[in-house]
Amino acid sequence: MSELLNTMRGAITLDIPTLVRFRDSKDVFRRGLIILVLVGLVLGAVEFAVVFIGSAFAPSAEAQLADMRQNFDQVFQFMPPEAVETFEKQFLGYFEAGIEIGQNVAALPTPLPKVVGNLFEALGAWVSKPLAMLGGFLAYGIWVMLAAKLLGGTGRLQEFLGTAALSSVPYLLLILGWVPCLGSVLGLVAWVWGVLIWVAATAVAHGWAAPLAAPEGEVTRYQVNWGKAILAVVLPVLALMVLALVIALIVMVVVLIGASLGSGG
Amino acid sequence: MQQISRSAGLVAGALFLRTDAYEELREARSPFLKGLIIIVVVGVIIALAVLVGTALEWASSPNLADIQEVVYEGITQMPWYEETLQAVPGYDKIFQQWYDLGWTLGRMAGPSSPSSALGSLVLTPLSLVIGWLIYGLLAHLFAKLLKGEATLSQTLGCTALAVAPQVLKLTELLPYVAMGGVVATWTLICRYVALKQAHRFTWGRAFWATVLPLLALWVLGLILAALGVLVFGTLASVLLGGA
Repeated sequence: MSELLNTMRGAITLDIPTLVRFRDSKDVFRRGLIILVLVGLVLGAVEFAVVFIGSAFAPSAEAQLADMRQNFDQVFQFMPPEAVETFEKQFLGYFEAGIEIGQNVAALPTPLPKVVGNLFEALGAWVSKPLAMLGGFLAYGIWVMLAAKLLGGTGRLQEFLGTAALSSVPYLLLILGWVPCLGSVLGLVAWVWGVLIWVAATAVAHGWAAPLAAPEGEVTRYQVNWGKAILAVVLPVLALMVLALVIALIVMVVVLIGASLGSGG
Repeated sequence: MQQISRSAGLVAGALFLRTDAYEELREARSPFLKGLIIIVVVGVIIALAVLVGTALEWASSPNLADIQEVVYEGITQMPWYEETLQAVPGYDKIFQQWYDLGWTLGRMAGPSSPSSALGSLVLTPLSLVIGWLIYGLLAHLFAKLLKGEATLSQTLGCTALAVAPQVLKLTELLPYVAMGGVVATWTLICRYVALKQAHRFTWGRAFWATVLPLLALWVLGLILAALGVLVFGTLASVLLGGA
């Protein structure tokens, strides 16, 4: 347990020797994923509480409508009166009808008591959290791995993914994600912190952290090639953006050609 | 019993990308048979878990027919429905048809009751085996083109272990669990490790041996879809032209 906490502390302080030790540990992939899943379960526990307690105190249809009306009124202040009138006429009635349908469906009888269904729903949200984190992590991880290999990285997939899984640790900050205003700031901090750990883990796993000779024996200092590690972490995002841009351009060209043909015909 | 725990250990090892698990199956007496057994057993266990989850979800959800009725009543009381009904005579019948069709298709998309989920006890292992064989054969073909060293049985045996991430579906014992893309991504990673180990590949060759079968299947799917559209379009034009 203390080893796990030390590793997590080392990860959040971007301590290269800790990351190197973790990379070289037995079954690093399994250990990394266990940390990621634990983080997911802790965050999911908050979600569980919010969903389950929220279901016990679910507001009535009238309260939901009043809440929605209040939100819209705040937006309406910045809209011209005629636009407000059109919006109210066109959409508000449908929002209200939608909420009413939702309430009527929720009121339908179920074979098991409602509280059991609510409990299952909350448990489902809890378990889904680490699964979603795991899916996102692995999907991004394989692209970073590919970029790192193309840049000359020498790491093995198991060591890389295991070490990079430590990037999930800063997301523990999101335990306080439900606090108004603070939540989004903490989300940003956790994301940036996570990216920094991704970069450090990529450097460590792909041989871009060279140990500096230490006369006492244990290596405590490393020469890190941050440039390649940053590039490997950023390249998949850049590639995705370029791809999106190319697709958008192609669609635009096709639409323009179609429009010009249409107007010519 | 020892055999079962050994196979479970292999699946766990494969899940955590331990190369010794893939190596053990590669060097087994009959990698294909062993792989087949692992896939069928994993498939049946998952199907049972999903069955329990479906039963619990069914028991904690309102009857679908009741939901259909409540939503229908809600929609038909909306202003647009009334306006359309006045503008288009007989719209109520057309709407009812499309609405019922939508619900019928929705019911077909997923098992909504434990009885309909029973079929997955057979379908889950069967689909896993078919998917494994198609991918395994294509992967072996591309691996051989890339100068791989494994026999067909060894390729199939190792890629069978890539079924390991399916055990995550055991979480579906609980209803309302959203799996997302984690199983598919992890399976891809396991396949990479399996082909790398089976064929003694470098990372680059293992990457292409893993990805090329998927690309080939996508291209095949696109061609079949295009052919389907072509055939359907031709048939429709012939029928409409005849009418």
